[in-house]
Amino acid sequence: MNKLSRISTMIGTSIIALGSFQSCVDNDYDLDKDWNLVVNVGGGQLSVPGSSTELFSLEKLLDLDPESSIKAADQAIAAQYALSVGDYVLIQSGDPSEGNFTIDKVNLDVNGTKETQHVAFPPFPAAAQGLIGKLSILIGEQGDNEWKQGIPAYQNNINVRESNVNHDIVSISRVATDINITAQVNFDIRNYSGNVHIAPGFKIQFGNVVDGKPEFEISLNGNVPGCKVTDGHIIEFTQDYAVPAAGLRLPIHVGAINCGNALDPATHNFNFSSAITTTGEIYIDEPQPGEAVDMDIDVVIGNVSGSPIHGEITSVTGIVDPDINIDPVTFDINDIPEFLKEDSNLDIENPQIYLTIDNTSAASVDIDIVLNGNWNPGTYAPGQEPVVTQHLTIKPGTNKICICRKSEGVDTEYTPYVNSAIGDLISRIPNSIAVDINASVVQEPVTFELGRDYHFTADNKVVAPLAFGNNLSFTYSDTEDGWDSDLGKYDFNEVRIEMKVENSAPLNFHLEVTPVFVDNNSRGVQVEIEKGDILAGTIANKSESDVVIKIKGNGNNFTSGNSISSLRGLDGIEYKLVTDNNENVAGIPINEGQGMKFSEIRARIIGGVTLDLDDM
Amino acid sequence: MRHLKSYFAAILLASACTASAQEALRSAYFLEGYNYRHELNPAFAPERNYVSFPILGNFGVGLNSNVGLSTFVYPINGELATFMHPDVSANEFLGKLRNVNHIKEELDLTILSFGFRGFGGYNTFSLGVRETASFSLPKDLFTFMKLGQDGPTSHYNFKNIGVNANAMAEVALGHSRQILPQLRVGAKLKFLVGVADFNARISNMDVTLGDEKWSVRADGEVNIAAGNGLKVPTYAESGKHYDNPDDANLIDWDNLDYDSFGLGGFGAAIDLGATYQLHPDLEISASVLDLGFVSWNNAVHGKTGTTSWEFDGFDKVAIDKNSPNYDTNNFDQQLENLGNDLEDAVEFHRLSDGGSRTTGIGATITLGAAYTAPFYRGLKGGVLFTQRINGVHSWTEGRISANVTPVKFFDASINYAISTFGSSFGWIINIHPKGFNLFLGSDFQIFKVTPQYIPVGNINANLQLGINFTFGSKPKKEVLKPLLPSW
Repeated sequence: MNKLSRISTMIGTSIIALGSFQSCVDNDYDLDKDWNLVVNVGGGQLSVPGSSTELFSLEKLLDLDPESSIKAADQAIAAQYALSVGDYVLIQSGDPSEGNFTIDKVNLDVNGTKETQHVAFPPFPAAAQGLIGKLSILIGEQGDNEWKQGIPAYQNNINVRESNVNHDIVSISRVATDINITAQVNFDIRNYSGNVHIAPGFKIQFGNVVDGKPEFEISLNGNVPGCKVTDGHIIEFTQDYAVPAAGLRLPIHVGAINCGNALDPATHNFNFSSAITTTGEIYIDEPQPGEAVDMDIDVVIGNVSGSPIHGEITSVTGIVDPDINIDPVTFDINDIPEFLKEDSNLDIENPQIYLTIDNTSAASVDIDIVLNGNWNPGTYAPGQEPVVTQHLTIKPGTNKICICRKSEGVDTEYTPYVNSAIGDLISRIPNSIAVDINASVVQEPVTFELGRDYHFTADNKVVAPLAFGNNLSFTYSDTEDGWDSDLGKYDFNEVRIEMKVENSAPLNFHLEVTPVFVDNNSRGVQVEIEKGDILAGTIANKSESDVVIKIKGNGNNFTSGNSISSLRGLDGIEYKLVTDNNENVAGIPINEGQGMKFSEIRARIIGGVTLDLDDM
Repeated sequence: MRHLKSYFAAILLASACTASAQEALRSAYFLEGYNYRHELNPAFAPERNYVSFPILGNFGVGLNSNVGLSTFVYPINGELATFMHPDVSANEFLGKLRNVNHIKEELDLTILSFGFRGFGGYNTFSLGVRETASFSLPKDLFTFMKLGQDGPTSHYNFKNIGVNANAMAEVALGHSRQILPQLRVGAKLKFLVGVADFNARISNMDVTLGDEKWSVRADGEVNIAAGNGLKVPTYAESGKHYDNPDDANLIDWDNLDYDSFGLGGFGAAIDLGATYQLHPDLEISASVLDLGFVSWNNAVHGKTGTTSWEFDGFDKVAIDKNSPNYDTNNFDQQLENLGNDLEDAVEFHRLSDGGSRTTGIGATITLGAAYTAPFYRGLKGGVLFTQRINGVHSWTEGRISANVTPVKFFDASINYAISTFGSSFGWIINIHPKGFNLFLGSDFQIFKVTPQYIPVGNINANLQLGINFTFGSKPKKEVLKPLLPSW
C-alpha cells in the first residue's frame, strides 16, 4: 500500500472512529421532560388474604348515651323483669301524677223538745209515816197506788238537719257527728223540800234500733255516778241517784247517727228526726204528814230555750263523688338512637307500663289512663297517632299495676293488665309520653271522712325489653364519605369484597349500599351487593352468612391521557342494614354482648391498584 | 418520588461520572502500539519504554449493563413513565429483560505506570486503585413487580439477587520475556490493600401471593469489611426499639457509621499470560488475570432469619375505640406490625463481628487469536474471548476486531462484541510517534443517548484516553519460526 493510501486509511479510520464518537440524541428520552409516575401494583389481581375483625357489638352499634332511656340490664333489673344481664331494656320513669280531693264537713242544726208532765200526790197521812217509804213516779208504767203513780213515758223529739248538703255526698246511710247535746230532767215540786231520786233502771233512750243499729250513737260527756250508756243509745242509771236541786243534767255527745234516707236526693237537704224516750222511776222521800206533794217534771232535750244546737258531720257512710283532679304529666324518653325512631316499626314484644298508685282515701277510685305519645312531625298522619287507654279500679291503699302487651315477664309484684294498644304506642318510640288520668270515686257505699285532704298519686315507669315481634322493621344507616380525595391517588377498576358475617343478634339484616358521589354524578361507577342477607342468630347459636360487595369503576384510568380515575367522583357509600322478617327470632331480647363479627374478609382488586407516586 | 428522575440519573451517572481509568481497552488488545496491552495479558510488552502521565496515563469512564434506560423508562404522551406504568405492557417490558440482569461498574485508577526493557524482557510497574460495584437482579424479580398476583395464587422464586462493591489499592510488578521464538510469557505480581468490601446476596427467595396467604422466605447473607472505622451496630447496640427478642441482632442500617479510615485487609494476586506465534500470520494468546485473594479483618457477617414471613390476613381487627384491645389490634397498628414482620424476614441478622474473612477478587480469563491479512500486512483480524469469573457477577464476552496500522505511528481498531451485557461496537485510535502516545477509544460505543448523554439502550458505555511518554526504540522484530508453515 503506498504512502497516500496509508494516510488515507489513517484519516478514514480516524474519521470513522471519531464519527462513532458522535451519538444520536434521542429526545424521546429527555430526562428533563415531565415524568408520569403513575404505577400499577398488583398486576392481574391483588388479593388481601382473609382477615377478620373483633366483634362489632350491639353496644357499639347502638352507641347509647349514658343518659339514654335504653339501658343494658344489670343484675337487679334482669332479675326484676325476667331478663338476662346485658339485655337491652327501655326504662323511663316520669314524674308522678298527683291529685288531691276532699269533701268539706257538713254543719248541722240540732233541735230538741221539752216535754212536761204533772204529778200530784194526796196529802200524806200521818198514820202512813214510815210505812210507805217513798213516793214514786213510774214513767212509762202503770202505777200501783196513790203513792206509786204511773205516768206515760216522755217522748221528746230530736231533729238534725242541714239544707243543701255538699253535692259530693250522693247518699248517706250513716253519719259520724260531732254534736254535744244536753238531756235535762227538771223538777218543780211543791210541798216537798227533799231530794228527788232517780231509781236504778231510769232510762233515756235516744232513737230506735233500725236494722240492728241504733239510730243514735251516744256517749256521756262527763261522769255521772251510776249512769252509763247501754246499747250505744240508752242512758241508764244503774243505782240510785239523788238529783241535785238544779235538776238532772246529762251532757251527751252524739257520735253518729244511722240515718238512712236522711238525705233528700231531690233537694239534697239532710233531715233526720227521731224520738227520745224517757222511762223509769223517780221518787221522793215521805213528805211531812198532811203535805200534798205535787210536781211538774220536765224532760228537755237540747236547749231549754229551744234554740238549735250546732254540730257537724265529720264523716259520711254512703256514696260520695268528690272531684278528683289529677294533673297530667309528660315524661321524656331520652337519647334513643335515631334509627330506632325513624321509619321503623319496632313491634316490641312486651312493652310494659308500671303504675304504683297510692289512694289514701277509703274509697275505691275508677281511673281511665290515657297515654299519648309525642313524635316528630310526619311520623304519623294527623289523627292516626296511637293512643293507649286503660280503665282501672284503684282500691284504697297502694296499688301496683302493670299495663302490658303480655302478662309473661311482668314484675311479680304488679298485677298485669293486658292492653294490645301499648305495642302500637312504642312501635315508633315517641319523644315523650303524656299521661292523663281521669279519676272518679266508685259509687258504692263507703265511709268517707269529711274535711280531710286525700291524696292520689300515680308513679309511672315505662319498661320495654327490646325483644321484638314478627313485624319488626328498622333501618340502621351510616355513611362513609370523603373518599374522593383519596381515590384520586389510588385507582382500581374493580374490587370484589367477600366476607363471612357471624351474627349473634336476633335480627335478620339485609345489606343495602348506595354510592355517594361528590357531585351526584355517577360517571358510570357502580356499587353492587351480590349477596347481602345476614341471618339472625343468638349468642348460643350464631348464624353465618356470606356477603359479597362489588365496586366497579367506569373503565377510565389515570393512564389514558386524562387525569380522571376510574373511580373519580365516588365519595363514599351509604350503607343500610335493613331488618325485617324476624319471625324465627321473635321474642328474643337484644343484648349488649351480641353483635356481628366479620371474618374471611377477602378483597380482590381486579387489575391491581394504580397510583401516582407523585402524590405519595 | 418526584425526584425519581434524579435517582435514575444519579444511578446511571454516578459510576459513569467517576473519574477513572478502566482496565485496558479490549478493543486495543491486538494493537501493538497500545502501551497497556500488558494489563490484558502480561505476556504483551509495549513497543517502547514508557511513563504514564500521572493519573491521565490511562483514563476512562465506563459502565456495563445488559439493561438500559429504555428497559425501565418509556415515553408516553410526551412524558416519561416507568416500567410500572399500566400502559407499558408486561410483554414489552419483560421481553427486554435477561434471565439475569446485570449492572456493573468497574474502575481502575492508575496513579502511575511505567515500563522498560530490562532483565532480559520487559518490566512494568503500576500503582493504582480499583473499585467495582455490581448488581445482579433476576428477571423473576421484575416479573413479580410488574405482574404481581396473577390468579388465585402466584408463586415466584428469585435466585441470586446480589450486590457487590469492592475497593482496594494495588501495586503491580510485571515481567515478560520471550522464552521461545514463538512463545512469549509474562507474569505480574500484585500486592493488594483492601479498603472496603461489601457483598450481599439473596441466594434464594420465595414469594407467594394468594387469596389464602402471602409468604416470603429469603435465604441470604451479607459480608462487610472496611477497616476498624466501620461500625455495623445491631438493634440492641444502637438502642433501637424492637418487640421480638429475635430482632436484637438485626443490623441497624440507619446507624451504620464509618468514623475513621482504616485498612480493611491485605492480599495478593498474580497475572499470568502467554502468546504463541502459531503461524507467521497467526498469533494466539491466553492469560489469567487477578488470581488472588484478600484477607479482610474486622469483617461483619450476617444472614437472613431462619423463619419465613407469612401473612394470612389481619386477625380480629379492633373496630370499637372503647375495646380494650383497640390500641394493639386496630387496623393501622396491624398494618405497621405487618411491615415490621416482613422487614424481619428479609433483614440481616449479624452473626459475627470483628472476625476475618478471605475473598477471591475475581479472575479474568482471556483467549485471543490474531490473523494478519496476507494481502495487507497492516490489517489484522482478531478474535478475543474474555471470561470474568466472579460468582453471580461473572460475565462473558466475545469480540471480533479489525485492526489496522496504516503507518508506524498510528493504529486503530474497530470491533464488534457480543457479551453478557448485549452487543456492542468498539473502536480505538492510537497515535504513538516516538516520545509520545495518545489514544482514544471505547469498547462500548453508544449510539443513542438522551440529551443528558445517558445511553438509551443497554448501558454499555466507556470512553478511554491516555497520555503517555515513550522513550527508547522499538525492538527489532525477530524472525520467528512459526509452528505451522505459511499457507
